[in-house]
Amino acid sequence: MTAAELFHARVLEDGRQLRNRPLYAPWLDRGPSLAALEDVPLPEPRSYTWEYSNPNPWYERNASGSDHDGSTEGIAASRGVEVSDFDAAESRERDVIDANLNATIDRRRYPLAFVNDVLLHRGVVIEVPAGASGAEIELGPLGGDFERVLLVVGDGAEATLLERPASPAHRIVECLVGADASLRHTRLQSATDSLEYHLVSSRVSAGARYRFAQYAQGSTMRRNDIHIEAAGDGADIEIHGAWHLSGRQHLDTQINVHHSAGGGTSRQTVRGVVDDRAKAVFNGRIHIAPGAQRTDAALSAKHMLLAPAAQAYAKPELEIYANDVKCAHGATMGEIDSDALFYLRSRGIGEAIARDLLVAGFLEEALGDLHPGEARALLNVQARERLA
Amino acid sequence: MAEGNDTLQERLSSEYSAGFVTDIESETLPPGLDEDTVRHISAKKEEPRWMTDWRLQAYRRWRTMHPPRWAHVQFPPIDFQAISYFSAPKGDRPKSLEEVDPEILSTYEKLGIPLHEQEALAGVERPRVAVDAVFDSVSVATTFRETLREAGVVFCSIADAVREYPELVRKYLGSVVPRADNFYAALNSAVFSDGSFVYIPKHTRCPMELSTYFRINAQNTGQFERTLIIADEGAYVSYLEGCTAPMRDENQLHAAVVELVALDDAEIKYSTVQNWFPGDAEGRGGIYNFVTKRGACLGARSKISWTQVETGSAITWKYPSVVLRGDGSTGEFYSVALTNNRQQADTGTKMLHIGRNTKSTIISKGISAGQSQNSYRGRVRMNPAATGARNYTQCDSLLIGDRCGAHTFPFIESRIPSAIVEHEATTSKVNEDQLFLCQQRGIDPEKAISMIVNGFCKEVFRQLPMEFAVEAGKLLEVSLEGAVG
Repeated sequence: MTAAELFHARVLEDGRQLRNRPLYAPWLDRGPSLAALEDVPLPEPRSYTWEYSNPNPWYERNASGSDHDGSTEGIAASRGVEVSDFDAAESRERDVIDANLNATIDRRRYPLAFVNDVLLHRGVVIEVPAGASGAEIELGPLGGDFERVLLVVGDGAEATLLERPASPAHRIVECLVGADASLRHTRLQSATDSLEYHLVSSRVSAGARYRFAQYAQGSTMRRNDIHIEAAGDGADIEIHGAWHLSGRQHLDTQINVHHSAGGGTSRQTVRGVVDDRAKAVFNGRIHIAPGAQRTDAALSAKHMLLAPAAQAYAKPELEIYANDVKCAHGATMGEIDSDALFYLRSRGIGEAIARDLLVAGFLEEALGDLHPGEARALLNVQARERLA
Repeated sequence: MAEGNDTLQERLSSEYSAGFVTDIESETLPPGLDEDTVRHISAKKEEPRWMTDWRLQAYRRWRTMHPPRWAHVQFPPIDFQAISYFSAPKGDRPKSLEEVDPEILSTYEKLGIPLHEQEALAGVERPRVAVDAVFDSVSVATTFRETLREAGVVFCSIADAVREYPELVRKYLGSVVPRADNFYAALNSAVFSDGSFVYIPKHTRCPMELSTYFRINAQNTGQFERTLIIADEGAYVSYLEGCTAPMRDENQLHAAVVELVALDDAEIKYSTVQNWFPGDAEGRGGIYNFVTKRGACLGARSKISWTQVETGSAITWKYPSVVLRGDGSTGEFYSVALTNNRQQADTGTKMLHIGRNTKSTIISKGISAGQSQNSYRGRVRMNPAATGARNYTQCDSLLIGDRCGAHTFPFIESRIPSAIVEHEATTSKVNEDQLFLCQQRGIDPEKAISMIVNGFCKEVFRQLPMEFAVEAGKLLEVSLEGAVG
C-alpha cells in the first residue's frame, strides 16, 4: 500500500468512529463526505498535479492523528462582523454553514477537502453583512490540524481578511464574495519546519472585486492550492504572490483562476526568489469556460535563482474555450541581472547590499498595496539577518 | 457572379484532396499482435537475428505498458488486436522505378510527389529533391540514390539499412528514443515496417533536400514507420516529410518514431507537413497520429531544427524534442498546428538542456476552428550542468469561432541559476481591425481570414524550404474552409 492509500484507509476508519461520537460540532453531518471519500483516491507522488512535490511525508505525519488544544482564540474582527465557531453555531449560523460550506470547492479535484470534512478540528464561519464597509478580519493560529474558515461577504460589502502566520496541517479558507462586494485577502506564511497543505477557494460574484495576496516563505513541505472563480459578469480578480525561500525549504503554489462568466478580468503577478537548496514550484492556470466571452486574463510569473543548488519549476497554463477573449502569460527564470549588479557596484555599493537591493526590488513587483509593510517584513527578514 | 459561385463550389468540394484510394493488390497480415506477428514482420524484411530480438524485447516491454492519459484529447480505447500490422503492395520489391506498379506511381503523381528523376524541364532548372516513398508498410521507391552515393550520402529505406549498414543501425537505433520510451514508441519498436535511413558523412553538405512521403492506403491497417538520421561531424542535411491517407470512416493508427543524431558541428533541419486524413466534419474517421520524434545534439556546436505544419489527423499527439547534450548546441522548434471541425491536437516540444551554453528557441502557433481542441504542451528543462543555457519560447493561439478550445501547458524547470528561460503566450481571436481593413478593400471574409492566418504563421513558414512553404500556405487555406461564417 502506498502512503496515500494508508492515510486514506486511516481517515475512513477514523471517520467511521468519529461519526458515532463526534468530538467537534456534532451537528455537522459528515456522512456524505465520508461516503464520497470511499471512492476518491488521494493524490500520489509524481502524479500530474504532484510532479514536483511529494505528499507522502504529509500523509505519514498526519496518519497518526493528533490532539488539538480546542482553543477558540486566533480570530479578531471589527464591529458588525459575525463570527461563530462551528461547534457553537446556533440554528441560523448552521443554516449559513449548510448553505455555503463546500459550495465553491470541486472536492473531486481537491480530495483533501473531503478529508478536512471528516477530520475537522476547528471551523469558523464569518459573515460580513450586505453593504457593510471597512470590515476587518484577522486570523491567527486557530488551534487545530484540520481547520476550516468560511467567509461570506454580503452584496456590496467591503472587507479585508488578513491571515497571520499559522501552520496547521491543513486549512481551507472558503470565500464567497457577493455581488458588487469587495474583498482584500492577504495571507502571510512564515518559515517553519512543518508539513502543510492548504486550500483557498473563492467565488467572486457579478461586479465584485477580489484581491488576493500570498506572501510566503517555505517550510519542509508547504503546498498552497488556490482556486478562484470569476462566477458573475464583470468579476475582477487580482492576485499577488511573492516568496523568498532558503535552506531546504519547499513551497508549492498552484493557482487556478476559473472564468465561468463573461466580462471578467484577472491579473496574476508572481515573483519568487530561491536561495540555497530550496525549491519553488508554481502552477498558474487560467481557465476560460465556454461562453465566458470578453474575458481579459493575464499572468506574469518570474523566478530568480540565487544559488547553484536552488530549483524552480513553473507551469503557466491556459485552458480556453471561448473565442472573444484576451489572454496572455509570461514566465521567466534566471539569476540576478549582472548588468544591474555592476551598475550598483560601480556606484560604490558593496556586492552583498547590491544583491539585497536587487532581490528586494524584484519581489517588490509583486507586492501591490495589500499589506506591503507586513510583506516586506516577512520576505526581507533573512536578507537583513545576512547583512548584519 | 456565376464564376464566383463556381470557384466557391470547387473549393468546398476540395475538402481533402488526398482522400482517394489506390486500387492495388496488397498482401496484408490478419489483424492481431503477438510475438509471431513480430517474428513474421522481421522475417518479411529478411532481418538478421539481432534485429528480431530487438523487436521482441520491445514487444515484451510494450505488453507491460499503458497508453499515456495525460494529453488533452479524448478518444475511445484502441483495440490493438484489431489492427493489421503489416500491409505491402503484392509482388517482389521493385528494383528500379520502371518496375514500380504504375498504379502506385500515379498515386504519387496525383499527390504531386515526383518519383521520376527529372532534372531539367524545358530549360528550367528545378531544385532537386530525393524522395523515399513509403506506401503502407513498405518503401516502394527511393530516387537519386546514385547521385547521393557519389557524395557519400546514404539515403535508403530502413529495411535496406538494416541489411547494408548494420553497424550504424545497431549503434544508433533506439539511442535517442529507447525501445521502452513510451507506449507508442515501444509498439513502433516491435512492429515498425519501414521508414527512411539517412547518413551524412563527415564534413559533407547533402547536395539536395531529402524527402520521405508516407501514404497509408490499405484499410484497417496501422502505419508504423521508423526514421533514423545521422549527421556526422560537420555535416548538414535538410529533410522533408509529407503524409496523406484516404478518407475512411474508421480511425487508423499512425505511430512513428523519428530519431535524429547530430555529432560535432553537424546540423539537421527536419520539416514536416502533416496532412493525414483529419476525419469528416462530424468527426468520423481520421488518423490517430501518435508520434515520437526526438533529436540528440550529441556533438559540440551541433544544431537540430524541427519545423512542422500540422493540419491533418483526427488526433495528434506529438512532441518533437531535442536533447542538448553537446556544449554550445542549439535546438529549434517552429510549429503551426491548425485544427478544424472535431480535430484534437496535443502537440509541442521538449528542450532538455544538459550541456553548457546550449540554446533553444520555440515558436508555436496554434489555430483552432470549428469544434476542435488545440493544445500546446512543452517542457524546457535546465539541468544543473547547463551553465549559460538559454531558452526563448513563444506560443500564440488564434481562435476562430466560439465552440473551439486553445490551451497551453508549458513546463519550465530550472536547476541552474545562470540559465535563462523566457516564456510568453497569448491567445486571442482574429483581429477585427485587420479583418475590417481587408473587407474594406473588397477582400471576402474567407480570403481575409486566410490571409490573416498566413501572416500569423509567417515566422514558422519562413523556416520551411520554399516549395514546402507555398504548399503549407495552401494547405492552411483548404483546412480552414467552412470555418468562417
